[in-house]
Amino acid sequence: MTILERVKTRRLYFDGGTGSLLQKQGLPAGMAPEERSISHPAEITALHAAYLEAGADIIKTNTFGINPLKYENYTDYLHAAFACAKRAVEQAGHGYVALDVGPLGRMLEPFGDLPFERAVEAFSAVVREGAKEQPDLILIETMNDSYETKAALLAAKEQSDLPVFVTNAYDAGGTLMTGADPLAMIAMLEGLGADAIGINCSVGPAGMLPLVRTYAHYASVPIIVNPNAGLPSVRDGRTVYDVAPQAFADTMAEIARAGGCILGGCCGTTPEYIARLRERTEQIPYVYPKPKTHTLVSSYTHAVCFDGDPVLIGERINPTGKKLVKQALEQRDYSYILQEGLRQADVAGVQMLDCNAGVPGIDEAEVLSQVIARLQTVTDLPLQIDSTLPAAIERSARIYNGKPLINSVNGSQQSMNAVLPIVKKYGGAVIALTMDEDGIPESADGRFAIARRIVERAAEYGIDRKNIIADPLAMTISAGQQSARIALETVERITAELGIATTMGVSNISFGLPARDPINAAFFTLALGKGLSSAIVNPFSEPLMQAYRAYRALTAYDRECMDYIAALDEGERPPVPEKGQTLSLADAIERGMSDAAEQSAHAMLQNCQPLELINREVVPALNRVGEAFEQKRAFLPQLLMSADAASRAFAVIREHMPPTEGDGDRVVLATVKGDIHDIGKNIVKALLENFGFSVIDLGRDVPPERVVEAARGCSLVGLSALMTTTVPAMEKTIHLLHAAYPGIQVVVGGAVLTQEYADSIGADYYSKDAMETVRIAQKIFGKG
Amino acid sequence: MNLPVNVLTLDRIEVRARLDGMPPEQAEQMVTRCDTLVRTQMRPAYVFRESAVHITDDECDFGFCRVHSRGLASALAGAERAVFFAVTLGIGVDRLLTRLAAASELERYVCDAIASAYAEAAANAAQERLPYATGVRFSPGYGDFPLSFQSTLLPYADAAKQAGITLTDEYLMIPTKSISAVMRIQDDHT
Repeated sequence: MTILERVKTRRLYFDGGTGSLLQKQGLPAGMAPEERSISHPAEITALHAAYLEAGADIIKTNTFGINPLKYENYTDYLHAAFACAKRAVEQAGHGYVALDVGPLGRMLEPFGDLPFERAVEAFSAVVREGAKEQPDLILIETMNDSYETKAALLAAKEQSDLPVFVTNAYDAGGTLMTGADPLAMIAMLEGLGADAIGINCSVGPAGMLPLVRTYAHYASVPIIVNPNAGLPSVRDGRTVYDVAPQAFADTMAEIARAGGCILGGCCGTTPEYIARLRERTEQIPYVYPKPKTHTLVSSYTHAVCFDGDPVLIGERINPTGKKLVKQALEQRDYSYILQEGLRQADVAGVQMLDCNAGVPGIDEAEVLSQVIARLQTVTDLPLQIDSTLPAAIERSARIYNGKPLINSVNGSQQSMNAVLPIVKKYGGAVIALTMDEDGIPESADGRFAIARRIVERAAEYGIDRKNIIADPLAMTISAGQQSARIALETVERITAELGIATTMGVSNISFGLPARDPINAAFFTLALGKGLSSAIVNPFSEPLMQAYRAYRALTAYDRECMDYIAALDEGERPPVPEKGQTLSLADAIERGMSDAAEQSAHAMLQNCQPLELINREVVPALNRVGEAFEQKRAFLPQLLMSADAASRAFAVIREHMPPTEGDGDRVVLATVKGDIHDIGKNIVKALLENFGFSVIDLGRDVPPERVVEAARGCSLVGLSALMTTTVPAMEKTIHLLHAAYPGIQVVVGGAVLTQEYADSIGADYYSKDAMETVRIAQKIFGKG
Repeated sequence: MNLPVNVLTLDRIEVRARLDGMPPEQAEQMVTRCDTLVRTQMRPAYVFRESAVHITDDECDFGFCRVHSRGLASALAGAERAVFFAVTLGIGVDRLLTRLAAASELERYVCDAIASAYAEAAANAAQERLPYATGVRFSPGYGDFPLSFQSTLLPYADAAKQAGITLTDEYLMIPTKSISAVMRIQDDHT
């Protein structure tokens, strides 16, 4: 009987700790437990045998730390470990063997330096080699980062057909080390097709009980619980754990009753723990989990549930009708996109962000996946991948950290054939537009029929209906006045008869009309009343937000009307300009007063052209602060205060400027390969932008080749390095730049550099601080 | 092992020194606001593990590995045992700094300074919890103690699994606000 068949019939038992047990038995210092499979195979076999005898059904191969990043000869360790496990199973006459896969011990990008695809490759290598031994399952365990968990699970699914179990290590606060809560993990792992999921290591069984309850409430697959024997402490140089075998078994009995299906132990547990565990829990009635119906999407920290309380999705990252977004995407100016994302995320009620990079003529797959990856470095809101291009959807869904919402599929064969397999593979939810080859039906019946067809077709791909969110399509009433009624009726029927979640781009309803806000707000309220579960909206439209807040107060989703009241307080405190002492923009910037700079920019734009304002107010003010800094009359914090104030003013001025043509005065900035210190580079960037230069920021730890690629057509590149060890990478980057583009100027800076050092590695300029870099840029571009 | 956030106090003087030139009242407000931002993201944790050590004038032999460093040898001089330890504020602080860099370079600068001060405070607090550790904290990268020793120190202390501290190819620690070191164990204690 396969393990998946078996777990339907009764509770199963994992073995206990391996590493901690070997250490107790005298593993030499500095030797990893997995190395024992080759040096002392009999000892490992005996350990497996002891667990099987104690009542374990599943043993984990001694391969926790085995991967190609740590061991060149990882295949030898894998096969040796399997030999031990198989021998033990043979001797015992029973037992399933799990290929044990632990973390790589490296942090993935963007916070570490390991690219996502390299992590996938490393796990793939382990799974491919391990699968040759025909284990009964793969166990991915002790994962404390959601992104790495995704890489491992994706590899397991791509490289084998074996059942895959996944357990995460939560800390005492109930989240993973990188922030994910249980619901976020449940959403992502079930989406990606894990066959059983759960919790291991980290805390003792008592600490896991609340987590188990959450899993039991939301998970549709069996729940695994493998705790440590309590919390570790060091006594006489040895690590000991504070929960004894019987106490462990007693708490595990509660966990079994709370819904634990597959139970075992982790660090500090021994065969005795497993024996007591099995004895204590075997008679507790076993319930295989029922399928759950929550519609979930998630980020790397939390999930959003489409359960009635309406979900607002910010629509602003979309080039359609927004010239600044379009321009930013064309020029790959991601910092503007990030700010647009952050501004929306700050509006109370916005729970997700839609991301669309559909500008003709750009590499949409590349740009959209970049937008998604970068947004995930600054906001933890779940994202909606919005594209008509399957290649762009696939690339973005693959690198997304969490369970994505894909926008969209429609009822045409072509769309369903292209999009549904991506939704299935990458474990997303998907928005189903109620249209097909023949266009948009002009009746609720027609739209409902398409929604049902998509649900049925998705089921053929193995996508549950809970992962389909139907869009009944709001079409403008200016072109057909029945369209609001049709959309509302469709919402009602889908909610009542298909029982799935719905969403709409609300503001389409008033397209072409003047004074659109009242119409949008009224339509939104009507749709919510019909059961609309989410909406894609402009969160800066106050009437729309008022409708949303009022609806939640009226339907008691907003407890005690707290959110409604809180929003009123906000509204009543508009930024009041200080009477009698309105500062000029230049003054505000010089004094580093951000709020005043923003207000002043608004005021002065009434009688002044944007460019004039920059040249007359912003730049001279920054120059004065810059000079004071150069003469040591001002310090770095003051420079930064002024830069902040200027940025706030720029954000206002930019709204009034026509899109710029071509590349302008572009400067490429990067912290070189191997170096992750970027504070200096960021300060240089802020100042350059304030002085009107357009900056392409490549970030930190940037390989020379990427700098060369990005510098095409630029006159100036700035490179930063803090450590001596990374100066060779800087030198290599300079040589490649000079070889590729004769005449290109390279300025370098950073703690270890001096003029001499800069000369010796071939740099054109050395800059001792951010202000000097501005001066160099001004010289090169003939300004100032 | 976790380190409670409330045992860490901010050395405001140290942070204010880096805000030289900012009007005092504004600097005070800024530090207070940024302090809250950093504190809510911190999840300090530490790990440690002892080892025997045999020292000659420029080499430390830990039994399972040797390191050539006069600096470390003199820091550990005369000791028979040493402790490897590492402490971190956690990845939430890195996330905060990245997010701030997209919005306000000033806040990022101030939070960075505050986080560095907290990393130091966390190292001091962790050190107090190490049984019998004494003398100076000697970190890979100091003087002639090679930075590459990080790849021995951190796995030995099980820093990735227990505290989430990992290394880049260039032996830099992630989360970035982390400190690792070797210290001597008091001679009268074995």
